[in-house]
Amino acid sequence: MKPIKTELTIIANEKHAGNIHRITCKSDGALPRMAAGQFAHLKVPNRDLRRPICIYDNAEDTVTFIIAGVGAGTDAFVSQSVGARFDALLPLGNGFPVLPDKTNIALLGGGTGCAPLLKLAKDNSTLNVTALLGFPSAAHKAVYGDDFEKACGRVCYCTDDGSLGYHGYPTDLLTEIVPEVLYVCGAPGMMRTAKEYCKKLGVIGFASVEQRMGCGVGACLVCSVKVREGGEEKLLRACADGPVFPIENLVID
Amino acid sequence: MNLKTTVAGVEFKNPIIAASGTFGFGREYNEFYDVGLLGGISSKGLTLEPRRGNPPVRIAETPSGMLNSVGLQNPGVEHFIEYELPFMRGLGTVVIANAAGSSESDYVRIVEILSGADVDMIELNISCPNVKAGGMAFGVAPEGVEHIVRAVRKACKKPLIVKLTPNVSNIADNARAAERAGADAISLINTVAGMAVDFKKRKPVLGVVGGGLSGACVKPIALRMVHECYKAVKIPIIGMGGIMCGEDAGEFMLCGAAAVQVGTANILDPFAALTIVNELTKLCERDNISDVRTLIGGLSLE
Repeated sequence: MKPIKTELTIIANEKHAGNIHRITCKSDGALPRMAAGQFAHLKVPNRDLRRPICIYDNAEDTVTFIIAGVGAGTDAFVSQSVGARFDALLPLGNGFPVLPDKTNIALLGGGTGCAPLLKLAKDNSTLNVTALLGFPSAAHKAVYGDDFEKACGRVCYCTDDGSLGYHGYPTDLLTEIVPEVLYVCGAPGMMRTAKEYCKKLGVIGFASVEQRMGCGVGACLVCSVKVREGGEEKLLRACADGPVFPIENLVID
Repeated sequence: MNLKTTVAGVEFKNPIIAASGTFGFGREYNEFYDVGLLGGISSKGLTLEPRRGNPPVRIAETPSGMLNSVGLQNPGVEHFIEYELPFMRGLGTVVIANAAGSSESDYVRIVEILSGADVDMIELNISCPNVKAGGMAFGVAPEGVEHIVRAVRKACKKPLIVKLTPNVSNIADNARAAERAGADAISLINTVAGMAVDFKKRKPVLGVVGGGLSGACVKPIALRMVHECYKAVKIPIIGMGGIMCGEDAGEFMLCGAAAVQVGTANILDPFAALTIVNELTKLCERDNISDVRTLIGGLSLE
């Protein structure tokens, strides 16, 4: 799965609550295979730096991203109309490892952090998947439609305002489940709780992290992530060493 | 058409060199294209001991450019020689080892070590803005430049390039100081000191507050400095600062650069350096330039 640079055309751009967009793009030719947790580095109109966005879903010549406009760059990206063309580097980074003998897994995601988790369930239909997904409100979940329900054995939606599913954080429900592997992507608070949970119950955990990125391919060393390996704290590259790391090694500030 | 150029007796197949700190040791971009097609590669800045670099955040987008504050993160010179240099050597392009330090003895020692290794040239980084004692202490005053280059020169058995910082009062004085002290070439400019502020958070964007500005926004600064240095010294100049296309490279050569380095452009597009080689080639063909070297210092001032 060598990364390529390819031109993509936006064929659908749905706007949802919180300026979160579901953007589907088509490539002129076939796209390479992509693993759950890998990302694409997207050119943004009139900006210099690319923006790293996880791959939500893909098919032979299409790829879908869930993108929140949270700053000038992502705002410019999500404001593009159907038909707009841009170039992307993909697939980049290391995805979520699927462990051969572990069939009971759980996905723990918050907001746009749910996006990299879908493909894990979709691409591994033999796994028994429980998803705990948190959102500010029901409206913020709408961007995902019923994708998780279709791909996972069990889905628990959690909302801060109680407008959908459980009224509270998805991390509250961790004690209700005992997966063999937990896959996480969300805010630092969620990551911290998940890390403690994994340590306490001896659950294997993997987390996808976010950092401001430069080249996206491992050369420029700007997207540092604090990781503890062999008793030593190191700065590793989110783009090329991650973005997925064993959760026990992550230093979450 | 001839694209070859020579800097301090070292022949480059074309004038486009990947700039230090933006290209690692060539491995990552070699996944996208044969980086041996470039004129040369300047390695990530090396120090005697491995360096962890600065805490994140290390990058900020700015108008037509970016700030970085990596802080010379590198695996150390011994690791470079054992694990990275053999790969770089096999690429079929000029290998430049970029060396930094925080004391005179560090600089002398690392240059001694690199002189015993199979590198083609050494680029002395006395201009990193992101490390407290990281070179710029030596690179600002002309006396500092002359002192450190003289000390290193004695130990250096390879062609020595001295990389200059633009954060000085008169860069031509520093270029002359490097030449007097025995530099075989100079390269400029390193990044321009700057900072970015996150208004919402009332905080600096970068973890260490300040960083080095690069990208298209610094090109006018860099062109003028190359022009000033070309008038001041006889040793060859490697120009850099915001080169984004073949024509930019040509402009630096007209101002006196014998070769150029491409940095930030690689971060924006992994194919940038190769694209710039191809664009410069086309430019020469279009303008009936049979030898790219005729561009060097060809600026008409009439």
